[in-house]
Amino acid sequence: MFKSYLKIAWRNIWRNKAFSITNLSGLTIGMTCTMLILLWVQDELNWDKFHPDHQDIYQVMVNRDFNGEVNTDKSVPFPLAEELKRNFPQVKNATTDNYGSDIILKYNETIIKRRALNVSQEYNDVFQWKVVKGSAARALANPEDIILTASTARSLFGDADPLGKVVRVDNHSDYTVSAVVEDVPANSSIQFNALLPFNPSSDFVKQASTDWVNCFSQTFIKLQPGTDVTALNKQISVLANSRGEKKNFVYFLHPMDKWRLYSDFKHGVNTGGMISYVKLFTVIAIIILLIACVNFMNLSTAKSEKRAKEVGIRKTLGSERKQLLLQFYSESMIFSFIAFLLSVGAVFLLLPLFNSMINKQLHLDILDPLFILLAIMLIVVTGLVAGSYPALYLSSFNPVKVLKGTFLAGKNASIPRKVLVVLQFSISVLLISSTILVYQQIQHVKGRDLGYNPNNLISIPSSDDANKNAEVIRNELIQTGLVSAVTRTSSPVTDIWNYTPAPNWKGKPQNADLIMSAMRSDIDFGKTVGARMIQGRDFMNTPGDTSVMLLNKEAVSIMQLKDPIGMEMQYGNRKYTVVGITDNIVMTSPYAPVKPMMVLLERRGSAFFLVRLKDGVQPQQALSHIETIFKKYNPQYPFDFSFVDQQFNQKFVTEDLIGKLTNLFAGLAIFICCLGLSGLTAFTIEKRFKEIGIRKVLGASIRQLLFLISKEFLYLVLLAALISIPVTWWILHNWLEGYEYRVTITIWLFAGSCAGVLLLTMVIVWLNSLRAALANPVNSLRSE
Amino acid sequence: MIQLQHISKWYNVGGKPTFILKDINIKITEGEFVSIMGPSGSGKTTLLNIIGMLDLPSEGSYQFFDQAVYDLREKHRTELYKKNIGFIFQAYHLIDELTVYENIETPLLYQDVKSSERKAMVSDMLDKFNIVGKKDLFPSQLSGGQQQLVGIVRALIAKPKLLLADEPTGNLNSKQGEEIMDLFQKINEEEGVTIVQVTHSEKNADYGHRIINLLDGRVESISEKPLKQV
Repeated sequence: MFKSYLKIAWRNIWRNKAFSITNLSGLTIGMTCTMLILLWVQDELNWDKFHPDHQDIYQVMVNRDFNGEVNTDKSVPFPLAEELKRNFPQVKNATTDNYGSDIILKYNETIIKRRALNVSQEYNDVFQWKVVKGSAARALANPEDIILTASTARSLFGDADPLGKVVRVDNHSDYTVSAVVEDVPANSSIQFNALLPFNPSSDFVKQASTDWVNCFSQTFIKLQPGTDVTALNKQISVLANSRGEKKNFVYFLHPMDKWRLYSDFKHGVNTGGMISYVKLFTVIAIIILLIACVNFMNLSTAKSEKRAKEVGIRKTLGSERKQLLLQFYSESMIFSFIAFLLSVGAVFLLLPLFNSMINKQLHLDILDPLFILLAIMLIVVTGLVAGSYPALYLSSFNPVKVLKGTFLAGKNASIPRKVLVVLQFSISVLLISSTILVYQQIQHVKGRDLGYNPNNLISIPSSDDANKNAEVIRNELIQTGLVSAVTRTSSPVTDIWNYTPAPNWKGKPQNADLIMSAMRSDIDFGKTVGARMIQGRDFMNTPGDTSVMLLNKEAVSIMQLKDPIGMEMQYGNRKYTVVGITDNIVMTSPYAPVKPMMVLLERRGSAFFLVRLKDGVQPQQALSHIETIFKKYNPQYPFDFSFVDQQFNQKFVTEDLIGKLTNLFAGLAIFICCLGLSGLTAFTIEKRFKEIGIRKVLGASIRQLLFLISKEFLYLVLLAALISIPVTWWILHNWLEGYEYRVTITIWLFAGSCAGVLLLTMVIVWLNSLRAALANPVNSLRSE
Repeated sequence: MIQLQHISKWYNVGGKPTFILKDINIKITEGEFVSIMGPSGSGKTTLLNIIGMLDLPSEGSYQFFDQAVYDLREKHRTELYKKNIGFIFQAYHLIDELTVYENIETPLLYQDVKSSERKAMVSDMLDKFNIVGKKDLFPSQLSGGQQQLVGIVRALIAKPKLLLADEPTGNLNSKQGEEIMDLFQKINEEEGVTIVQVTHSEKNADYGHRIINLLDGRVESISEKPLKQV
């Protein structure tokens, strides 16, 4: 019996090639999109899951309340980790790291720059990085040892055994390699190439071990399974607040399973993060698959008159409805199965492209039991959904009526089909509007006035040698004639590394508890970064300019200063004079308002050189000169640089990714809709072929005929627009709420996308109906 | 074998019932060959469909082999129908996507006949009706007469006790029609299959033992015929 179903299904597929190709390509594109999205989602869900005890690992975080603004921070006091371990038996292990920094590793003639973390002893007890060689425990117990990842070890030593080799770090200290761990997987929240233990006998660590005020490190703990985390949160807060000055901070544990997807905090409460995109794209995957299924339903029922006769015959031959249902379901299952095979092929072909687009290393493992399970589900669900309506509809035919030949689908029969088409149109309007809005938002933010000029600005990491030779380097750079200004800063222009309480000034309100970002810079700060000075002047190279600072507009505003230039600010144990006010410089999120900032003049050490190229200078040409100069005065370090505008664009990684993904999947979804519409129009026209012929004989013009056919679809588009505009507005409005700096939704967005859908519909309908409208009526009427 | 009592069927058109069949009482015994005649719209096909259990009357009772058909559940009725009744249509109604062989096999599929048995039965029939050479062709590759022959073979494959034919020769030329009618007679006489046919043609009706004349949904007359001499 089943064999007979397969046979007839196969012959139907083969005989109606246009129909089958339309159906199969829709389903294949739908399934391919779904699989790609699910691969991405699976990758996102699997972050950090490679640690065997991931469900017991937590990061200690803290909510600090300043003047009613709650700040959620990962930086906690350095001694906290050990105290937690000592005081709470639930805490199995606790460890600390310093967020990491780039270090220079040197072995013989090989010099490489890698990312290293300074970590405390139990680092590899909390996490479980897989040790390939040596002992991690021993390495972390000895401050002169270093742990390298396998690829780092290979870069330094080639195929030689890395254990026991001595490497020079940052050109001043030697460390012995005593363990090698596997490379950190790409889907790990923590990334490093080398681990260095904190040196307990160093002055820095000695001082930090009793410092409960300044926080430069983050703390991770592993709990005994089944620990009551809420209770422990309270205990941690009590313990940490009792140390040092009295405070009222709220400490809490953030579980590892949430690090990747739930990383956003607002007013001290977790507000999600990447998870919203994971959910969004899961929904998009389902919608795309649904659109493909709707196509299948539409086209199958449109063809129903042809199948009606078969249903009638089968019923008179003794078939029960159940058996017909089974037959039509098996047909849709076959479609679903073939589409699945095609889409697996498509995924294999497209994955490299997709990976480079989203910057990931996804791969499809078809032997993975989970994949096989999901694949079966995908096939069965698609087959069932796509086949449901045709199966129920077709099997319900009354044999007496269909065989008499008087069977007419009637007006009502096409209503479900119209509902489905309206649904597709609505989704199309939603997708087009979203794509446009995401693009608008990104462009809006990219075009935001940054308060400085990130173009033609080069950032070069500094070092002890370079700082010593800073004056010479600056002079030689200027002498090349390619550089207009040089400065040095304590942190990059595209980030804030230091938040600090505001300085004191005369007339400061008693209860003012203000937090500002702080940065130190050499002379010519404003000139180099291109910051607009609203008032006062830049740092200058005069002997008198020593204890001076700049404020930004926002700082002046929250400090409520009337005449800031020349004011004295007490910060730490030094007094600074305010010499200039810069415009607001966007350093962190381009979506958020600018934070109050102060820039302190610092002429000695610094982390970065900033080099402003003259207008019209080719960066490549300038770079070769700059490199020569840095090689000369900073020979121990490999020359490294980045363009500030590129650094800034890094801030759009997520939004760019979302933009690309929505473009891609919205485009494909709309394409599937078009396929379905095209198929449906073809059937409508086939059905009305005779009518068109008669009308032509009666004198209808081609234009009138085109209008006649498109009228039907016109109403559907208008209805879809009415339904989808409020829904679309609501969804997009909610999405924009997440950004403080954002575009507004205008009526033109909807007008544009509705017009787009309408235009697309008309083009498709006209292309399909032109043939019928142009046909000689003699042929269409004779065929009766 | 068949006993119809007070069978009526009507539709409501504008609140008033329009009768298609009105108080039909017919008895058909096993082995009979009955023709139903009447002008267009007299209810011939509806009556045939009711006998064939494809359609239900608005009123009346139907005994099939001492079973009250309308007291049976849907499932049992289908069972009764599948086992005993074969249908033949004016427009042949073969499934276009299936070959001759597969078309003939289909009723057996719905009766859960085993594969080997099916093969034997179909081959037997193909032999008997001399269409072995056509078994792999599709309906569109056959002439009308050949298609109707396949339709008849398909109706007979499950060894039904009752064969219902709705204008079986309506789409055929006279020579083909005659061949089909001769075949009907042969089946009736040799296999003892009861046949009820609806026809327009006096000539074809004459093949039957009895002719039931319908007019406006009523039995106008029943004429008994002596067995036709071959």
